[in-house]
Amino acid sequence: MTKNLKLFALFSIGWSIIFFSVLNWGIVNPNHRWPVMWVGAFVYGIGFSILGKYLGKREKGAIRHNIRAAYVATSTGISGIIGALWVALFHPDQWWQIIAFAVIAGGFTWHVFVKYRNSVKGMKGEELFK
Amino acid sequence: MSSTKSSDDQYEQKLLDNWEEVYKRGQLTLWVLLALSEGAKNMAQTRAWLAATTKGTITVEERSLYRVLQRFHTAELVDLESRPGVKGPDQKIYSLSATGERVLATFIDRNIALFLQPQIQKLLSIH
Repeated sequence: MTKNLKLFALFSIGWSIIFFSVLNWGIVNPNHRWPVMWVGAFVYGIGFSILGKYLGKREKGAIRHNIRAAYVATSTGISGIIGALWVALFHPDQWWQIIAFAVIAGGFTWHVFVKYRNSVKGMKGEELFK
Repeated sequence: MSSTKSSDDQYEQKLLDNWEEVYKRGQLTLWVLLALSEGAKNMAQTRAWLAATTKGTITVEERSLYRVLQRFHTAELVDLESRPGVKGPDQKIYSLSATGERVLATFIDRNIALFLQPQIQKLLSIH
């Protein structure tokens, strides 16, 4: 794990805790349930995207397979784990949501892995040796 | 009769041109890595080496070669060193990295050494 990726992982943990706290607060209030969910999810995703791009650009080439895949797997994995922990700790009666987190996080990470598994430093073979 | 011959020639030339275009595109990596395996070079020296060694068969524009070398540097096939220029800006010197050497050696062993087999040499000499 590179230095920037570790920083990104730390950010992902903090950002996910903030997101789930906001979601937890908003979801029980029928007046702003939907705006909180939609705006919260959008800001949550944008935050990952902006910081991932910023940190990733500064260590381009440091990761031998694909830097994008590494950042996506980190954010998705941490988001899934925090989400599952949140349910397990605060809403154990809704345990089945953990399965949903695992399926979404696992499926997305698998998709990224399959898409980029043959890439070299983020480049496809045709791009590198064209 | 002669118009048929001319038509055949034109057609064969077209076949050759297309084949060579695709073939040369795939050859650039090998020739660039071979150039650097001979010794460290700047971009102009690499271009000159390619043109001279391949007798003008493999030519590449400066900008394209720069992009190729940058990609190879990112992929750790090529090392890059900046040396102070005599008059102008710093010179970028490219050399084959340890990874590049091993990858090139394995590539040659798997793909080029085939042409050195006596039966293939014989077939090539017939043509």
